Amino acid sequence: MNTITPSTTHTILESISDGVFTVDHSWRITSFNRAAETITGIDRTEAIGRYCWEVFRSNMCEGDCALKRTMKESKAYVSSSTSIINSRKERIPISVSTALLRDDDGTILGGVETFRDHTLVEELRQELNGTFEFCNMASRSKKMQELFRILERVAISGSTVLISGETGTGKELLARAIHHLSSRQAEKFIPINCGALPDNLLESELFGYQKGAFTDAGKSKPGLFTAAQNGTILLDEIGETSQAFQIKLLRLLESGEYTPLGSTEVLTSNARIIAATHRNLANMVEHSRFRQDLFYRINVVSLELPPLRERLEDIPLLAERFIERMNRVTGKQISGLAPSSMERLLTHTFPGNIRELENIIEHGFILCTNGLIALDHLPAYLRNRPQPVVAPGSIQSAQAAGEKEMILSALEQTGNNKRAAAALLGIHKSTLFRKIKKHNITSH
Amino acid sequence: MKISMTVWENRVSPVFDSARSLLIAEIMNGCIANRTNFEVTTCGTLVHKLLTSSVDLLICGAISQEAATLIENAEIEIVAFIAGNQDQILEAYLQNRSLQPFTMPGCCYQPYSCKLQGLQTRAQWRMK
Repeated sequence: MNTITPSTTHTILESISDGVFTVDHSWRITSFNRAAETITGIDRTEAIGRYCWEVFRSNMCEGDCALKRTMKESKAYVSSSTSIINSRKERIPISVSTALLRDDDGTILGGVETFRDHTLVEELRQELNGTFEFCNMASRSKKMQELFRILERVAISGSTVLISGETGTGKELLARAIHHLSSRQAEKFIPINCGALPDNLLESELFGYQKGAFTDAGKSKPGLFTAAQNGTILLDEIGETSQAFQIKLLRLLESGEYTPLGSTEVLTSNARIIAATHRNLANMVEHSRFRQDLFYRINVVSLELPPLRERLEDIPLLAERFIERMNRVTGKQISGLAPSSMERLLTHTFPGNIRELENIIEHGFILCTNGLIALDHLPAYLRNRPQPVVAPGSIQSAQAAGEKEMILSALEQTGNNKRAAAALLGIHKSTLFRKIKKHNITSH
Repeated sequence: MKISMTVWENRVSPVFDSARSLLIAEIMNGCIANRTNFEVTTCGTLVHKLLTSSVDLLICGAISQEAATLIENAEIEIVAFIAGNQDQILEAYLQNRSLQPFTMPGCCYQPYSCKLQGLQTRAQWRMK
C-alpha cells in the first residue's frame, strides 16, 4: 500500500476550501493554506510568523479562544461558530474546528485550526427564500427590511431603544433580536409587562425589596434590574406606567441608580433598557399623560413596527412559517392554506397582528387533519365575515377595504364617538377624520 | 487632547468589537499626563465610554464597519488594524512616528492604511 507523502498532504491542504493554519507553542503561525489566504484576504508570506490573533481577528481571540482551549485541555473542538473581521471591516461568519498538532512521535508541536466561510451560505439562503430573515423575524416588507438593515448598528450602540407598534406586531421579538445582536448576548434578557402589574408590584419586581418593606416581605428580594446586570431588560407597555413610577425610572436612566423598596441603600444597574409600547408616546406627552423628560430619555433610538395590515405581502410568508412550525410540533403534514383561506386572510384587518395570524393557523391545525387549511378550518369570525368588495388582484384595495371596515366597526362600537373610535384604533383623531373623508364614510 | 486604545494584556486588543479594556491617555505638551484603564463588559458600553470621554483618537485592532461608523460619526478619529505592545505604540505616536510598522498583516493593501504610511493623523497634527 502506498503511504501519503508530505508533498501529497501539502497538495490536499492546498486544494480544500476550508482555511487551515497551524501555530507553535508561542501562538505564532507556522503554516497557512490557500483557502485561509482567500477567506482572510491575507497572504501567507505576511501571516507566517505573526501571532494568530493578529491574522485571524476573531471575536473569540481575546476571550474564549477554541485553540487555546484545545492546547490547554488536549482536546479537539469541532464547529464553534464565530466571526472574523477582514481588512475591509467586514464581518465574516465562520465555523472553527481545532485540534492538537503532533509529530510522528506524538510530541505536541502546537495547534491546528480549520475554519469555513459561511457568508455565501447565508446569502444563498436569503436569495432562495426571496425574503429577508433576521433573528427569527422574516419579512418581504420594505419597511421591515429597512428596519433589519439598521438593527445591527442599533444593537451594537448600547443605547436605550423605544419600540412602538400595535399589539402582536413582534415588539418582544425585536427587543430579543437587539439583545442577541449586541455584545450582551451571553447575559440575561428579561422582559416585563409594565401594564400587567400595579405600581407597587411593578416597583418591587424591578427594583427589589428589603425584608420588612411590606407585610409579606419576609426576606429581601433582589429586583430584575439586579438580575439583568450586564444584560437587557425590556419594559413592555411602558405607556401604561404611572407618573410616580416614571420618575423612579427616569432616575435610573439618568444615573443608573435605584433604591429597593424599604431600603436606604442605593444600587446601580448597567442593564440596557429597551422600552416598548403600543401607544403614541409623543401624543401622550402632549396630553401630559407621559413625562416628557422620560420620553426623551427612552426615545434615543426609535423603532416602529408596522401593523400586519400594512404589510400584507408578509401574510403568505408568515403563514407558511407558522404552518412549518406547527407541522413540526404536531407531527401533521399540512401542506398550506387553500386559496379561499388565503384570500380571506388577505382581506382581514388583523387587529391582533402577527399573534392573531399565528392563532388562526393554530385553529386551522386543530380542525384540519391533512392537506390544505380550508375556509371551514378558519375561526368563525373569519368564516362568517361577509367579504368586503375588493378590486381583483389589488393589495392596496384590499388594504383600503379592510381599513374602512375597521373604522366602521370602531365607530359602531363607540356609538359614533370619533375621539373614542380613534383611541380604539390607536390613531390620532385628525388621522381618523382624514380616513373617514378618504373612505367616504357618512355619519351614522 | 485624549487618545484611547483598546487593550488586551499589554497589547492592542485584536478585535475592537470584543475588547474588554479601554485605555484613555491624556496628552499634554507631547507627554502622557494621565492614563486610566476602564474595564467594559460589552461593545455597547465600550462605544458609550468612548463617546462620552471627549476622546480625539482611537487606536485599535480590527474593527467592524458598524462600530467604526458610530465612532467616526462622533468625530473620533480611528487608526485601526494596529497590533503590538501598547507602550511602544503610544511612544511611536507621541514621537510623531508612523504607525505603519504596527499594522496588522493584510492591511497594507487597503486604502484605509494610507494614513499610516508616513502621514500624520489629524490628532497628531493637532498635538503639535
